[in-house]
Amino acid sequence: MSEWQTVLVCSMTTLAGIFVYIVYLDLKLKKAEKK
Amino acid sequence: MDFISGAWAVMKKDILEEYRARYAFNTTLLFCVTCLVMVSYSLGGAVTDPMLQSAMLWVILFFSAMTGLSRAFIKEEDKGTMNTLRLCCRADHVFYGKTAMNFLMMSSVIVIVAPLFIILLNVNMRHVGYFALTTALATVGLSAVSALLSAIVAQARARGMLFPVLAFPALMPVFLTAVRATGMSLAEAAPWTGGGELVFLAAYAVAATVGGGFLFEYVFSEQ
Amino acid sequence: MGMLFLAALFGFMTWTLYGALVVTPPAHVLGETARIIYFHVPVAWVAVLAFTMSLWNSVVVLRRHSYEADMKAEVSARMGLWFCVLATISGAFFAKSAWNMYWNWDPRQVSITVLLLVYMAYFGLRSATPDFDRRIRLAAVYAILAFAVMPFLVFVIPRVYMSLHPDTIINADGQGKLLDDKMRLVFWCAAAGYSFLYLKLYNLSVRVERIARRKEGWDV
Repeated sequence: MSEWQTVLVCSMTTLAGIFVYIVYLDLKLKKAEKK
Repeated sequence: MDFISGAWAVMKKDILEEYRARYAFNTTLLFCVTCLVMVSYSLGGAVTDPMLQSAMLWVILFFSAMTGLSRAFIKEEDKGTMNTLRLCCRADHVFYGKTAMNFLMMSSVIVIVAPLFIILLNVNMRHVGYFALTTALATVGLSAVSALLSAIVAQARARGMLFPVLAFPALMPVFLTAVRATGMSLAEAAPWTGGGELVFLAAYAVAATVGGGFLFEYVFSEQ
Repeated sequence: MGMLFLAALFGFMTWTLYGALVVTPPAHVLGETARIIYFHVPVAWVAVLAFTMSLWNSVVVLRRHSYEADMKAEVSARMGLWFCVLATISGAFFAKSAWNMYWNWDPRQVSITVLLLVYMAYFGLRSATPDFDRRIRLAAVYAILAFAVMPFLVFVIPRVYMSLHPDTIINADGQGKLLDDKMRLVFWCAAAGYSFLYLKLYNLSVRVERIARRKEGWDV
């Protein structure tokens, strides 16, 4: 893989990780707020 | 005229207090002179660039201001007279009185320290008028912001350490511009037309006194 | 900000990322190092946006003594600080690759440091004031003061002092430095993407903070 492709894959993985965490936090908050 | 007499009353009280004990003025002056002597000694007569000399002067003045001006409201809080001020005077009278007092004290210190600076660091002060005016304007801004921050810090803990932490970033604009302006007054070219330092210092002084007076009410009055 | 919006935002940002790294050409003078503007500038802009929200909420605190507004002011100040840190670090990496030094006290680096100090001082003030009613008022006043200082740091210093920092699009003389249309498009998309991401993070943080404060007994 060329260098740029490595950078691209790493940054997209990081971005995906951030969004997964956001969704997770969102769902947890929704549950906490319902109580 | 009620406004001026109100602010003057606050200032007069501080002047009388200061005259009796001279604590803040003496400490500030001694701190300034000590730093200046140390700097001059460690330089050992080395030829220095005007901008560098200007920077050293203002670093010394600023740290002296941090020690000297922070006491403005801290001493009121410590002595328990903060509430007396709240009861007898309007908030903006207190602010402008304190600002004027800070200005008086800092300019007294600078009047003594500036000639020493010229002598000890072998400075060639080419444009005295420009230096005097820009320094005076910078001191106004410094006094106003210090008064506001002193009132903030007096109501918090860790006052001694908190004041420089709050004040340094807020005073950065004045600091940088004053260093430049003083550097220009030490340089050969006539400084009056070059750059906007004078205008900026004047603008900061106005903004600090007016804005500070406005914000001070929220800091000073109790809920 | 439902899940659908989040999914769309994710797709949008992925596309922007691809655009930033693959589609856009290297810049005129700076070459490949210029790609950092698709991250560095949007993040700095988001910090300013966050600090502006903090200012607005601080004004509301002073006018109505609102605990809710104080909560929002604190949250947005904290996020602004984090984004400012990101901007500083990305700027340092750019400095290393462009001028071979992470840090040389370039005027821009000076002003971003002072900005960091101002908002760290804001949190220092908050933690040093035990009485809650006093804390929200003092912190609000300082947030207003901090925001008043910011324009000088962000706009005046780079104009007055000679700086190595590349000119922004706004400042360019006549023709924008981002000559290429593709670069411009990707840049604005990145800015929009990060702004929406910030708003979502802000929303989550406020909700978390609200729960935390309610637990302590405050009525928010």
